Amino acid sequence: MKTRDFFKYAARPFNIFILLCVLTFIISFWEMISAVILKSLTPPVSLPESETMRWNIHCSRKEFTPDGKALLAAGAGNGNVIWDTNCVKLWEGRKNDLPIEYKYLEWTEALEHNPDFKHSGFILQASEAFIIMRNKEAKETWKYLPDSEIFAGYKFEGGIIGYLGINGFSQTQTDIKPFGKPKGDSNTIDILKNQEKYILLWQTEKQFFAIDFKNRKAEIIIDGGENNISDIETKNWNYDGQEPIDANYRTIVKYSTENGIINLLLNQPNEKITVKTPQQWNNYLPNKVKVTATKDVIFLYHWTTDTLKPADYDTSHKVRHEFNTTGRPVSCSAELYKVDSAGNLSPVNEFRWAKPEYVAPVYKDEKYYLGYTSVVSPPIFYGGNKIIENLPKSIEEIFPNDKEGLVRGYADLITTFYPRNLTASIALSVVMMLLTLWHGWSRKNNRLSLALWVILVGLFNVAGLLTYLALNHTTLIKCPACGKNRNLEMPACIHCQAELPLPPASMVRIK
Amino acid sequence: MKFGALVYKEIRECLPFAIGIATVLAAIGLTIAQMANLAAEHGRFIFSKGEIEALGVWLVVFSVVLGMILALRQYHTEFSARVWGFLLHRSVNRGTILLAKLFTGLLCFVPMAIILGLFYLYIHDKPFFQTPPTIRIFWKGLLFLVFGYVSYLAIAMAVLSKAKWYTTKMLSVAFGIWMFMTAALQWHLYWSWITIIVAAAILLVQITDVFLNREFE
Repeated sequence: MKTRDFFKYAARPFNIFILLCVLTFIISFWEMISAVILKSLTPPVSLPESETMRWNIHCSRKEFTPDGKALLAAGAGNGNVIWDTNCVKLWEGRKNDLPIEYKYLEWTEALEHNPDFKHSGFILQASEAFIIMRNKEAKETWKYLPDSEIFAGYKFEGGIIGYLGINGFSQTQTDIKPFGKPKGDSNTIDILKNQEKYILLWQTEKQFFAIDFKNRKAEIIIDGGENNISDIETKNWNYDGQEPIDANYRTIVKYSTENGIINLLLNQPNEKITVKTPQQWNNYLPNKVKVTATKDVIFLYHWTTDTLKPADYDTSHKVRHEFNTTGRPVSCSAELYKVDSAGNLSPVNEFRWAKPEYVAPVYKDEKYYLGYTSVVSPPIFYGGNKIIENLPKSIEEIFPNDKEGLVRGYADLITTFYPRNLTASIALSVVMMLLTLWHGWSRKNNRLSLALWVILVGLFNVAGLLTYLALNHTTLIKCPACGKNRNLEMPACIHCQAELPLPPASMVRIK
Repeated sequence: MKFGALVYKEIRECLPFAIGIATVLAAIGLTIAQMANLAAEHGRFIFSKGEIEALGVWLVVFSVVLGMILALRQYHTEFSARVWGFLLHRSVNRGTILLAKLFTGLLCFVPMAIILGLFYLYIHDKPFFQTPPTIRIFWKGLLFLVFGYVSYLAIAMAVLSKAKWYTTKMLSVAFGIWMFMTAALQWHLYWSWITIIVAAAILLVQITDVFLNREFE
């Protein structure tokens, strides 16, 4: 085989592949735009009043005042609205102006919402964890050494300051005990730091530290003992512990271990409480617990439904079909408890509501209109969607490292734009195949090639036809020998094998 | 010998662009380093996302611009000046001519790679950067340069394509943009490298096919 033939045969599949991919993207984009336009052209249909009320109740936040009264709330900042549990509006305005009788309890939040610490903004490797001290007294950089699992300090002008580990500061590395393996894999580590106070929050699998580089010490905030720490939430917590952010609340740190035990660490006075939550809470989804502590009382908020947790439920991937409860009514509840110093719970109030049924004919989003526009999608996407739906694990679980990447993006493309109406999509594909056959019959080089193109067009619908046309369209002429249509780019007529006619000879005058 | 002569001819035509862009990049890099140094003296940060990232943006832009300029200079100028016939009717085959062009295209990114390497060596032991310069960031910089070469291949393919502008002439450019987005979305750097290398291989195969099989006037 000649080199040029090799490249000719190698380039063709790439050409088809690229064109198909680009056109599939363009057609999917067109489908989405069309769905949005269709939605905007359709006048909105309002729900009956009773149904609206049920949705408002379901979608609002369920809050409790310190005396145990349940309220429904929505919005933040300027647009705060408070309703009672019958959905009667009680108050609307800025959150700071909230009347005392509607001041509801505020709960612990995930660490990245703590106002005293800033998230690094982007995910770093552990080796990229660092803090820089630049003040009148010192100019130094502290960097994490992943192999030794300790921090090393460097002077700006050069030279090493020393090392920081679990047992504090030393000028020699051999005296330092390592922190242990950081939580998360080596490529994805969340770093929270207070650059003004030079404090870095550092979580390993079993411990949680606040590393104070200015005073060169590492304080253990949480020690999970034998158990791995699963999540940490705080309220009113800063590392110094001197000035609580909100004087109405005690400082509290809540952490859960992977065996489901919830622990609370409180200041003013210092307390550690292991909450005795009922075992049956773990059997239902969701099982969300938040806590808070006023000056006198520790409260616990529990939100759950009557949906039983599947036997194979994996707590590391909470994006599974938690709320896929179509076809049966779901009862939800928000419960408020008091926690005593021994960790016992005593119920204060409970608010129960029924999750409204999904009202498909009334509530029409873009995906509803995609039902119409997706008729031009490749029928092969329908099969792809079926495969993805029936996978034993979710795509996120199969490709845990593909956080923003290829597989999930393309799986999303298939599951979003697959043809909802397979019959209509196949009918359109058949039309596209007939068009391909009609176009290609006179232009074909051989029948096998044309047959393969027809199959490809059948699989990819409009994108397939456009790909075919882009790569195969040629000018047709009438064959002077047999009178049938023939491809101008073929040297011999496929019907009679006659050569292409030569242009008529003309006189050339040579001086 | 003939290959060497062809490379010399291409370098003579393209090197001014490569040197010019590398010089501007060096000037920007030094300015950023100097500003970071001065800011450190006053205990401040200047670049919100870090100094290396600030240079990285310029590296992407300049490598893509260099790729575009090189492709237009090497392929489009031959069309507009109608010198393909003159070039091809030498006692050298088409493959050698194409290889000389592609090799020179790659060579023109070397000055920028040298600037990147020198900049990394200059800063890697300086502690006053917000994001400490690690070898991973150096590899990321090299990836940006390789993407510049992919943009060179994409534009070259578009110029060489015989298709009408409203059909598939710009397909390679769309493919290049798609590959860049795919590479940028990757969580791990090695996947970005694999994506860019696969993109370059696909474009190289297509360019070779078009160049060896098309007719030039």
